[in-house]
Amino acid sequence: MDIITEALVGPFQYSFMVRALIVAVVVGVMCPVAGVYVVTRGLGFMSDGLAHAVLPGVVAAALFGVVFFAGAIPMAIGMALLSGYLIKKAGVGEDASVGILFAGLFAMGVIMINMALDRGVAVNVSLEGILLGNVLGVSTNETYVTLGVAAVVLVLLYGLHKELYFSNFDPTGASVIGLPTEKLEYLLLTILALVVVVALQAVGVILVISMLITPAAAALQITRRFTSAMLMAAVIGVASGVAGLYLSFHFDLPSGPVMAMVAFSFFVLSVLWKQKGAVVLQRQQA
Amino acid sequence: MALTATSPSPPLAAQEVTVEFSGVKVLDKVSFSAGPGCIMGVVGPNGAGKSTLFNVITALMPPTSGQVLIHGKSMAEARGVVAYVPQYERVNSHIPATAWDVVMQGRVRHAGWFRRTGRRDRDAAEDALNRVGMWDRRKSLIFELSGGQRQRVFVARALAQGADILLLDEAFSGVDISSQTAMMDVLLDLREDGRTIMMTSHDINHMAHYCDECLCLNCNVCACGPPAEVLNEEVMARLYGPMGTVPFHGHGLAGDDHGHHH
Repeated sequence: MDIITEALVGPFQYSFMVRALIVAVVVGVMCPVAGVYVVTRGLGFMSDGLAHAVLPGVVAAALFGVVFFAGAIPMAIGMALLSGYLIKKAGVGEDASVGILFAGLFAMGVIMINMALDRGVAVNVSLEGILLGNVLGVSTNETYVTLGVAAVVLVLLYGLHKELYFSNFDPTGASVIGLPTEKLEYLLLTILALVVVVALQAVGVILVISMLITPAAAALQITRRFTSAMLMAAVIGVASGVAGLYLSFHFDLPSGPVMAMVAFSFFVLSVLWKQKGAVVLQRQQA
Repeated sequence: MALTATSPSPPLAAQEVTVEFSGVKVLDKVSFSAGPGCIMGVVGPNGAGKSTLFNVITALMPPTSGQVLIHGKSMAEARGVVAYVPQYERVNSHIPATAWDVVMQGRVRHAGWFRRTGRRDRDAAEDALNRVGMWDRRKSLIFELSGGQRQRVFVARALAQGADILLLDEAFSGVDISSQTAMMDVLLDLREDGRTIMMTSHDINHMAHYCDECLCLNCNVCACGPPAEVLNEEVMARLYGPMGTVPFHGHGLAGDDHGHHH
């Protein structure tokens, strides 16, 4: 008993682990809930693009010595709205718009890091840190910002659920009854941008996609309702985040990749569950 | 006729509606009016402007000139009166939605921003599902339903919305014969309420059979009136060219007790 208690509580005698736990739970709720829209709307590449395109903002924040979010959030929202504009107004395809901004802005970030280093300016940005994330290194301020952003995102997704649901299911029908579908689309992209930025510091660029897509996709395998998928995705997300944190602590593994692997195992289980269900159904019918 | 007894203006009237895309006229001075308790079929070849006309009537697209009046009012004042019944292919089928979820979408505007739907909304959805005979399937996912059942669910959404003008795009595409009859029974029933139904279909014989009026559209209005009068060879030729008379079997079907078949 003591060993189990020690294993569960032990890590949290360190304040950085408490902050990491808070961020893991918050990211584990927010990303999967928004992720149900990402999966059903096919916005995975958009999310990946957003996660990369914030690099110039992150570098600028480091140069000016301000908190990570101060650079990353405006950058992500800018990219989201700009790609929305390219798709709607300039007639550039969705894939192409994201690809153009993704590559262009990430490249700009890399060049900014090199220019700063050439001039002897120390930039506290490591590409590896951005790629893999560092939930153990989250500061108190960043924890507060994460909580704030998550609160805003969840209030919007809850409060505007019926409008967002309708306009994503049937944009034409929603416009006909007078919903501002274009504004709702920009709102969804803005929410996505916020979510990506918050997940970015916890699990890193590559693994943002993991928290955004994997729990939602697993939940959609199992449930039949959109709202239940959101709830179940949040449960899977929190479980992945928390379990990942424990495993990484006790086995001394990098936290982001472990969280992603736990989420991935949940997805595999959900597919097996669905297959088993289908087999049982077939046997019953046969 | 209860819905429109107090309104002297026709439910739906188009006045010289013209739409141009980069100088090319897609609709040219289209005028017509549809009364209460009327099923109006829009007939015309591909590219005749049927979709554009629907887009103008549903206020998705402003006309270049002319206007559409709903019960004598502008489109902006008449929001919610017109409902659009989509083809299933036009909705996002990756989003799980039960029949109930879809019908409740019709109540979004009644509940208002940031508010949850309440008892009145659920009652309206229940009535609408009963009306189209889909209450028993309310828990079924849309993709589990047949084409005709899906369409009845979308019609129920329009009813839950409180619309009295329904637009159906390609009403019979992907709908098998028995579902078609069930679907038309629902529409004929709604006509008895005094609702106005406007639909397109590629099947002219169906249109001739079920519609009270046919609007023959090929950029401009070639003819508008009861199918027995307007679906003649001359109009068909103007719509589809000289070959157009082939798929339509003369006057016989058109005069075939349309709309009173049951």
